[in-house]
Amino acid sequence: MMSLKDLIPWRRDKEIMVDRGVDHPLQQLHWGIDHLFDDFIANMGWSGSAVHDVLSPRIDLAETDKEVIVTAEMPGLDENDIDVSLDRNTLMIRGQKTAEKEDKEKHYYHVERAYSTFYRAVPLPCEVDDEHVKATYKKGLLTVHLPKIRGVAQARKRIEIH
Amino acid sequence: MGQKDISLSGSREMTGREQTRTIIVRPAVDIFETNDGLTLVADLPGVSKESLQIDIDQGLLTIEADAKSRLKGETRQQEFVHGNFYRQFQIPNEIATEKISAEMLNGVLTLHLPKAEAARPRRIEIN
Repeated sequence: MMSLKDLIPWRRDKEIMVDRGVDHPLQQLHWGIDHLFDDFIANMGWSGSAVHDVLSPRIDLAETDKEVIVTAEMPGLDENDIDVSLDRNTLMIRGQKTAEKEDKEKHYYHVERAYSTFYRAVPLPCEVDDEHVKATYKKGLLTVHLPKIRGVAQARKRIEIH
Repeated sequence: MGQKDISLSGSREMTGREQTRTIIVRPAVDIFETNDGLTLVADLPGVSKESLQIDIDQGLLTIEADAKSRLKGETRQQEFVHGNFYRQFQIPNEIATEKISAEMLNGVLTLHLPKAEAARPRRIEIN
């Protein structure tokens, strides 16, 4: 056999660990709990199929005056394998890897990537116009633009404290 | 922060303590072997062909990519690591480095590392 053992990550001391870049430990806890619930719900088997290895993709959520923008990291999917839906004020993102499958025949040295279903329910910070939601999938990133319902900002009344 | 202006090439030269100040993300990687060679698959969400750099120097394979901040507006929730992807691998001598090919699709990099002819399994015909 060839000396494929050479193929190990180069010099451990030079390897840089992932820095999650999280601002605050409480925020981290908050997301952790969110993930836990998402995973729990996704694993209840409500989708009908046998749900296993459901992965909750990381998301970013930003807000402008006009819209809410949600971005999810879902590398290696086909556009057609992604399902985005809106249920009241919750955005549901689901993806299934079909193009790529872990092949037991091949001899694996490293397996770090996910071969599973992506699922995430994202509660939105405000009401959105479900008729004009736009989603794009590029470079392994799903971006969903959700326009805010006009007038909502004005409708929100500031309550004076007497 | 003020770390944004540290260029990729600069960050490589940095040592020890300084380096921890730039956010470095280790991409998830699969590596498997076939008869023809090795295949390396790396998840690089948000990376375009243009911002990806693959180098091989004396058997050391370096993958680095810049994943820029992708959001406009006011961030409400941030779980992405907005940093640079960086990872290195020692590749075996049996690989024909001049024949390595790469493709990028949907945020996934696939690197084909073919074995040199001499290293491939060969059946010897009996006359």
